[in-house]
Amino acid sequence: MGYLILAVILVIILWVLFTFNKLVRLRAHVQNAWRQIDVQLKRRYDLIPNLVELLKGYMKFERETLIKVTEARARAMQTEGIKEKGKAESQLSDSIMKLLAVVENYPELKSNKNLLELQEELRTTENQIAFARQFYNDIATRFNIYQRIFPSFLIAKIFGFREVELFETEEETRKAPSLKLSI
Amino acid sequence: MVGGFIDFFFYSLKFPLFTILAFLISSAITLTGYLSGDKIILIALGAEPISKFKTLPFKRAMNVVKEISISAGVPEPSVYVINEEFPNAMVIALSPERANLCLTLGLIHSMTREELQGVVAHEFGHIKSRDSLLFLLLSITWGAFLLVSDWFKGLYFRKVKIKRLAKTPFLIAGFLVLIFVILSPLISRLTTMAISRWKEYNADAISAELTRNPLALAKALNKIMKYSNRLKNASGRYYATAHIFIADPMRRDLSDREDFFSNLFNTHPPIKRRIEILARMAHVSPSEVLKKMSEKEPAICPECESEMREVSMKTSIGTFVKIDQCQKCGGIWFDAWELYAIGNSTDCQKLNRPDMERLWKKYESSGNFICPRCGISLSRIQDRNLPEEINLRRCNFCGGIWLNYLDFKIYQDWRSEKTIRSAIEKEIDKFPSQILYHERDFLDLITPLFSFLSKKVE
Repeated sequence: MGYLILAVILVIILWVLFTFNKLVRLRAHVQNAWRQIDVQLKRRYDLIPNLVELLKGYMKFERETLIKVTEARARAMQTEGIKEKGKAESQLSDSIMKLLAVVENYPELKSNKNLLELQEELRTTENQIAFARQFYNDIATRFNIYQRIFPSFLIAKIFGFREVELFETEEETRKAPSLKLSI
Repeated sequence: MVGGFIDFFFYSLKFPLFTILAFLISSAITLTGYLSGDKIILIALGAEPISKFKTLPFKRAMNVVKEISISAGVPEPSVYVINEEFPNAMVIALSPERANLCLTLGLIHSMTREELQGVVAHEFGHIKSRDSLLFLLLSITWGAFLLVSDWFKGLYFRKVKIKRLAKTPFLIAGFLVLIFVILSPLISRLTTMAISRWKEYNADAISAELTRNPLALAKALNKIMKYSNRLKNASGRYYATAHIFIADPMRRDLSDREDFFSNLFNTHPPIKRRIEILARMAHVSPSEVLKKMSEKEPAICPECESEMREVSMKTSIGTFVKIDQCQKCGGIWFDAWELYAIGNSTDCQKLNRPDMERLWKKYESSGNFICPRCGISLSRIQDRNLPEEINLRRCNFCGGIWLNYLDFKIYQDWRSEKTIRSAIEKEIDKFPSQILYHERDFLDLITPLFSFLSKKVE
């Protein structure tokens, strides 16, 4: 009988260890995914001035679009917090997409080699942000679900794990399909 | 197998020593394959690291790989390029941390960004589910299994004496062993193929999950199918590595044959099935996708990489052809025989006259001419029938020809000169015959000459 109780206790301890470790691992993944997004966002901040500088000479009539992009960038850099940041960033994405669409109207620009390269850089950054976000959301959802289901939610409660927020996009960008990014 | 034979000769040994030795040796070989096999395969395929190539398409491919690696949450693999026109991709990855991704030149040049994402994500599907490791284990297990069955066979025939062999239970057992021995290579092949096909479907599904865009891969597969019809000549050097590519590089029944037997022996499921499944994921009817995808995309100028416009022109024999002209540099792409049919047709006025001054300047060009149809690089050729100063660039695969706008002008001038000369020669040919065989007046003789001279020279 004593052995049985011992075995049960051992199993419970093992289970607690396993669940705790899994939660910790998931949280680390989530944090890492969040940092990935951050890296990409910084890259985009660095790219935008180059683009604006390059386009300034060509697009005298599209001043407004350029200004909008610069403003959106400044706003996105200042905001903190997952939800607010998500909103600001998706606005920035929007304005960049609009700018790239405007560029299409200038055949001279379309064949500028520097611009083509910059455009490619921007496009890949946009995609990388989108994918990083997607990955973050996937893994964060897994983390959240694991905290909610029985029996692992007991451990999560005891050790004070908290659910994380998801990166949400605005309605506008959700309507636009990702196909737009393709050449 | 060899071990089994040696055992057979030294059958006084009760223990299958040599069989086990042989198994150990073969396992050791496979293990070295595990440790350094990826590099060996890469060398065998003539793969080169992508960082060697500097132009935009390669940069794009690298970016796409990075994007998908973020989406998959897997470290970036090392990317290689295979010099092959057929669009294809493959992966050698025993663990996600040590993966090698190979893309062919054809793939990098002929796919749009979106399609490239689909294909690369498919390969990441293989990386994530560790398919290379699975195949390695599979081959080891089957090897062991075959050796053991070999040993049993030897045991059975050695131990059982001929008299007892005639008794029915032994006869049946012997019969079963015989059947198994005969069929085992076949069974091993069939299982490998079946697992390979299943893994392809699996990787397709992961691709859709990573890109959230199943149609991207569907489009890419459709393109690959089209190319496979064009590039029929299979190359034997891919025989051993066929199962690791995204599409069967041997192009065995790549498109639509779906009967039972062709299904059994292929390493890859039929592409149409794969497209259908992907289309259903996107809630689009498969037939619609196939129809939509067969529409032509604008070709890309080989010289300055901008879009080309289609111009339909009347040929000298009266039919119409569609040729493509670059909007920027005015260069013209002729499919296979179109150049010779057009000559100096009056429809040439339809072509855009590019800004001549700009033409004389050296505009930016990658220096690497890429066929707008096949995506492989064009080679410079000399045609003995044409004037020497024309720069001809031909795609060795589809036979299409690229001409600079100026070169086309030279060609036209030469053609019209040639037609005038041949017309004169024809008329002159007429004269002596008329003089010799018909007694005509001087006037009769002189009128055709005049009429010819008064002809408008085009």
